[in-house]
Amino acid sequence: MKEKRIYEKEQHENRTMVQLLSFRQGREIYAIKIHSVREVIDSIAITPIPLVPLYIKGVINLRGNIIPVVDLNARFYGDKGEIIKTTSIIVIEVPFEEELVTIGLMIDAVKEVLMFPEEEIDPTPDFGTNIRTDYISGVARHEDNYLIILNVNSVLDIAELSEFTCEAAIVGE
Amino acid sequence: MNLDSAKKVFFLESRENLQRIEENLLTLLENAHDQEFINALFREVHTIKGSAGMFGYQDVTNFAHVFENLLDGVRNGEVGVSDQLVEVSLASHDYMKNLIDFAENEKAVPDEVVSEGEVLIERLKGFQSETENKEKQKAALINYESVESRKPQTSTADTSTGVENRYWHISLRFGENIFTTGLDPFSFIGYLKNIGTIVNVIPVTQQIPEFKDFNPEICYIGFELDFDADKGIDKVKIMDVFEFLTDDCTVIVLPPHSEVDHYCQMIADLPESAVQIGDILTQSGTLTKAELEEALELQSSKSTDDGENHPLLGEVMLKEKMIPETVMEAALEKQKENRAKEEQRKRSIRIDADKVDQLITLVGELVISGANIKQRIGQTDDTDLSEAVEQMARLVDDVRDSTMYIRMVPIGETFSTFKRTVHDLSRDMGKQVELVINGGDTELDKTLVEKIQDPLMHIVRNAVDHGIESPEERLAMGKKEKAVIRLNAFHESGSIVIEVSDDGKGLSRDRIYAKAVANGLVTSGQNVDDRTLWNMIMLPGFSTAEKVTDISGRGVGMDVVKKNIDSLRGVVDIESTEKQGTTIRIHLPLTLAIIDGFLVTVANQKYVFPLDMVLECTDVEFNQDDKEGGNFFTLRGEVLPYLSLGELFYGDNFKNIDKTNENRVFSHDDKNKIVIVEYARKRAGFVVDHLLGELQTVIKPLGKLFYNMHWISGATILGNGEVALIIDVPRLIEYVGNNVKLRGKK
Repeated sequence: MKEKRIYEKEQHENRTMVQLLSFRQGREIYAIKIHSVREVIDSIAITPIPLVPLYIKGVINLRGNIIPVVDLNARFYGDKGEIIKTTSIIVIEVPFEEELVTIGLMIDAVKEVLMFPEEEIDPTPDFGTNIRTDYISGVARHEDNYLIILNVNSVLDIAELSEFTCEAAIVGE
Repeated sequence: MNLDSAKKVFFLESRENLQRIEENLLTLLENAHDQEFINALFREVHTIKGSAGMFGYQDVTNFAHVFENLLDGVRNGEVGVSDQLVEVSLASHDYMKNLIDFAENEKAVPDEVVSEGEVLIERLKGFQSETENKEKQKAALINYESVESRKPQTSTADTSTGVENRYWHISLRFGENIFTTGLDPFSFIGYLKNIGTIVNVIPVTQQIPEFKDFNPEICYIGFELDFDADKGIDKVKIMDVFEFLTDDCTVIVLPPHSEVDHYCQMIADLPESAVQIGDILTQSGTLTKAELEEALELQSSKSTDDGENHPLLGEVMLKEKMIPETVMEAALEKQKENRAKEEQRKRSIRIDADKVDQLITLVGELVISGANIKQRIGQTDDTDLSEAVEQMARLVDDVRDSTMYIRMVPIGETFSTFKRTVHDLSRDMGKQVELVINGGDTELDKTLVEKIQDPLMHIVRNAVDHGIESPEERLAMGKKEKAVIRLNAFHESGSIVIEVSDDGKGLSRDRIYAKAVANGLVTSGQNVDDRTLWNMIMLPGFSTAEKVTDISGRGVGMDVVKKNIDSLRGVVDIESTEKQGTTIRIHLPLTLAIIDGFLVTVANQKYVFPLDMVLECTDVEFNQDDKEGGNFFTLRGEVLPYLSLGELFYGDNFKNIDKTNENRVFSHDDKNKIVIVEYARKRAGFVVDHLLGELQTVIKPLGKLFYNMHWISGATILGNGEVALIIDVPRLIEYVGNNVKLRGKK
């Protein structure tokens, strides 16, 4: 069924198509452009790191490499994301200081891969969303729902995410 | 053939040549008459000239040619070594380096650089023309003043005149491999006919081995020639004939009526023994017997001048009627030395650093899977298998160590680059500074060496600029006019220590205190100990220099130094005594990739302490009253600060965490387990839940996201795939040592 839909979308060859990965977080459906996604893995043992902000869930061992995991729920709403049966980690590469940094993004459930015509994506509305507008790169209608397309480089902005001090936890005299 | 890769090698090697040129020049300053350094200098410049010519870098070749001519003059004693000469040579070195940089970046050389080169060429030629003028004044007699002045006392008026031989003398020794390079030795001799007449040719056959050892592809033969040059042919032109000979060939050209001294030098430079050469020279009539005797006598008196305790060779020789065995032995000794040098060169290979890094990554993986196997074996009771695995584990250990060792390089090379810095700076500032280097063969990770260069450079410049007083001030204070800056490197408890110390005026407590008050770091009248105060000079925007110079004093610098060293997981420590000097000590970790660790748990999470920083682990019972008074405990009479990692990490929640752990091995009681660590001469204890023992860890970086997190230095993957965090001991000690009251985050 899914294969068939992708095939149908590819028929519109005269239009620029964007490939998206959609997923669920809380009650919302979000999507990210697929070119920055390296892989999707089940939630494996996450090693927590003390004294870091809530949005850093911890680190995982991805085939011998240590990858930090960002909790999307905490990043968006400031509440710790619970690990449930469908919880997955999307492994994403984001550019930072002329390098690609690999980060895991913990979300509630992965949905599907979609092809979407570029012109059907509308610009970010100024209001009506409950997350920061700079996280959003556009909105599209999909099967009676609104699909919020995220700007990965902003959601996972390394400069901003790494802007914390553990010294804050140590209270001076 | 791919020229690009050959060019790469050329640039790499030229840089090395240039570095050696610089080193030799600086040594020459201290040791003006050492022929060895002059020869080495000449060789290096000649190599650059030759290889630059091969790749068509004409400007480099042209400049090197002029430079080389001057050095040749120095080598022959035509030009004396003076401070000015070394200065010009250093400038020439810089200029060649510049040219090679432009060539490497494939940029055209800008006009101002070209004109700089022209000025330099004039200066270089100036040295030579000076001697040429003198030559003219003395007309027929070839008599070099500079030589005379540095000759030992033994030389009297009659020995300073040249020998009777009115022809040029040329000694040729071809390198063993000349045939393989496609060169025909004879063609060089043939070509000589174009510029003069060959009076005498004597083949030197002493190197030909017995027939069974004879290899037809090796050139064994050399020639001694007497040559009557046509008018207008000078030494440079004759040398040009042999331009294409490679470095392992020896070509010595002596002008007519050369001094006995020069022949003596030549005899020493040739591989055959003095007696053999002497025979050939007298046979061909190049030298009379008396002249030869004089030469050999000179040679022997020279070696006694060097301070060595030889018997007077001249006497021996006269007694034994021209059988100077010691000379022969010395010649043999020299040959042995050369061979050893050659072998040393053959034994080292050049490897791309990326390949080594890749190997280290692989070994890291090997260590992890080795640990995995070991853990699984522990669960079976197959003793043969576990023995085999044990043996393999030991081998893996060795492989790991040797792999890490590949990346280790001595720091000496980095240290010697500062010689130039100190030389130039002290000259510009009118100070007299000597740089003393110790422990240059201390080895550390190549990446560390590269990254430590800039911070060290800054500290050294600071020392010359601010630390050292002017010569007048020093004399007035009763110090020696010449200041000393020491660079030391040594190992100390699992870290490498690099020390820069000067005997200058030291840090001014009053000035730093005043500045600290002005910056609001301390309140006036507050009691601050020296160490805390000194550390303040590493804060951004903190400079007490009254006048800002080109070199330092802008308040940026020491903070950058600290930041750089922090990023290498190192620690900077300052000691200073007013009027006596300052010592800046940098502690660095041994390596960046693999360490032995000590595994512990805190709140069911595993953490690793670097083992070389762990002094001991012990059980401690804290007196609750003590705790209120501050985080200190007493261990065998020594008061140590401590910190509970659990309370630091989880605050008040820590009490509620279930800490029972099935992995616990050491003890089952509820006493506090404390790990005592030492770094940079400071000690502290860390309270943990369980001690799990030693293990090998491959340090994996946590990545850019944790750039601002300082209490862990990385992570490691355990045998079962679990991740353990590596505690950054230096940073945590800093917190504890600063006596900051630690409370967990709510």
